[in-house]
Amino acid sequence: MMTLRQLQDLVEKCTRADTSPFYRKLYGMGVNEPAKNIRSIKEWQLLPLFSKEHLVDWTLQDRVFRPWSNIDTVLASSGTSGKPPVYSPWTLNNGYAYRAQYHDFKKATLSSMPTPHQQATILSQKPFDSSLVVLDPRRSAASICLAQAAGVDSMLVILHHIPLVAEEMVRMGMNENIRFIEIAGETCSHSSYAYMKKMFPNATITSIYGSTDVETSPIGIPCRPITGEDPLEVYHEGERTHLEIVDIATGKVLPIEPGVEGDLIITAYAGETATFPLIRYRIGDTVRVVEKKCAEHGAWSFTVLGRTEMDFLKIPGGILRADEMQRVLRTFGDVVSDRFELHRFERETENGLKVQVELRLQTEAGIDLDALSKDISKHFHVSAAYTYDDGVQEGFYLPLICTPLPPQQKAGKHIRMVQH
Amino acid sequence: MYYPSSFDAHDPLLRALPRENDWRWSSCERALRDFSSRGVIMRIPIFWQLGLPLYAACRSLGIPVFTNEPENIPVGALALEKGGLDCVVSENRDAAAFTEFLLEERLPFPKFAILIHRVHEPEWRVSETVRTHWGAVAEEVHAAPGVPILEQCAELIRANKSQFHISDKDETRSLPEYRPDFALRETALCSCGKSILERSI
Repeated sequence: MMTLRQLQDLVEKCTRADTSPFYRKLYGMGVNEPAKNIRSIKEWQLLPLFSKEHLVDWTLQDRVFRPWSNIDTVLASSGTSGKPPVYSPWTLNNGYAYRAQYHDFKKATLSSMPTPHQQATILSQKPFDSSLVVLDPRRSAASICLAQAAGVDSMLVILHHIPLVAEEMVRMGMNENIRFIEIAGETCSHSSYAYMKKMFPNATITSIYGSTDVETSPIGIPCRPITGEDPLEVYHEGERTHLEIVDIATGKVLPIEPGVEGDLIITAYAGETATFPLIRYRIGDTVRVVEKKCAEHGAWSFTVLGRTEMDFLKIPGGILRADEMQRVLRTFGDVVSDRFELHRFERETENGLKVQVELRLQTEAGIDLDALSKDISKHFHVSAAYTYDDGVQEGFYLPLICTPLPPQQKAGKHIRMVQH
Repeated sequence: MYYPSSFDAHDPLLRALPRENDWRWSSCERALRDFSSRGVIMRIPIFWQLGLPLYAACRSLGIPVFTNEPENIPVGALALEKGGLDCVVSENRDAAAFTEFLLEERLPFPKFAILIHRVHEPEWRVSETVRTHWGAVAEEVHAAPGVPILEQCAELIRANKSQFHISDKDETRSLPEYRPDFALRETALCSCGKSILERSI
């Protein structure tokens, strides 16, 4: 939580004429205009919001604020939405002290987080004394061989990497050694949680909420471990972060009251070394307020519901993109309509947790849905050179199934991406 | 720290090679310093675990590192233009494909690169496309990931030929399966005082 004074200072610093022109351009400031001086929360709330689209056209070197030498890591947004990646600067940011309440980090840790080298530095410092093995998701067995030698007993991993890790660790008989798992990257479903508990019975599981665009990640610090109680993941804001919730349609700031839902707005300032402070950044996630004042941390808490404008879903090894499904469906002409719902499930199988996609759509009468499913699967790309069917053949996904779109949902434009 | 004993994730002989936590990739750090790199795109397999010593080298020079899976060429290539990075650390075998993509997309070329040859490759040769388009290229021959046996000083890098010096520290003793299957010939003495070596077999 940042105070009004801190927010005022931040805006003043970021709109000086002798610094990066990013916010001056965003706010339409003239060449000779002095830095902005906001005087109240009301004026703060009038500052324009911005989103990833505003960053795409900038090169990193043109928009950074502090000396280039402050940047220790560059991260790229995944390009999952089909848009060009945005490259973001990170300075060494240690907002992870909360981990000490869950685990001692005296043995080695396996990580697939986007900043493993920063994590290695943080975990090698007091109060921790851990070394890090970096998980290569494309070569998970080799990574886990190293993890076994290193005596790993904790993991910091992207949620969709869990099945890769779990199956290999069970095979090597090391899954019961894992005492702590921190997940990130996407919201955790009940089936994912149940799977983790089954595969790693001795692990405390928590999740963090962060983003490659946000230098002060974690944006959301876990209020409690995941226990199966709803909502599964509850967060409060990090120290150098100021969060607001706005109405999705109007952009108006909403009150922090239990049950309020809206678009999350992030202001993040990593301090004097920050290379790109974020001021009122619309990250594109919808959240719901859980508590106005969490009993343990004294701050308001929230849970993440999903993407505000959901046009993609992540799966292991790729992305289910709405525009790609539209492209495929158009190749079938009038046999199918453009309207569809794409549902992503995780199914427990004897070979572990697998993704299954159900495509609900309108078709001409008499169409063989099984044949249609196979046909779509062969043409539906989940990455540049990989189709959903490739993933089915290699045993990563269960076959795609087509089902009719319920009649009440047939009117008008209708595209939905739903994660279960 | 543990590093893999093999470049190949599917090698049945792959095992974990213990190294000191503070092991430094000094040849890499020296080359990055000599050629004033602005930031590094790491395009070597993540399971090699070389990201950690590369990050340490970059920190000592005050430059950032960007991890790019070798399979994800577009995001790595665009980082040269949009990410403000000018150096690539890659396997030599991946450099030609990366260059083709840069040519097709009309993206800038790296101003500097460190290319790793696997010791058992039949030849250690940088492709002409890379030699033509990229800036300076430093070459290293590794016996296993992070075990350099041959490296280049700044003068050899500027000479733009696959000529090497023996690495300062021989760490191949930690690799019991390692058997050299190449021969070197000495061609001259370098101004740095070390013998210049070329592969003869």
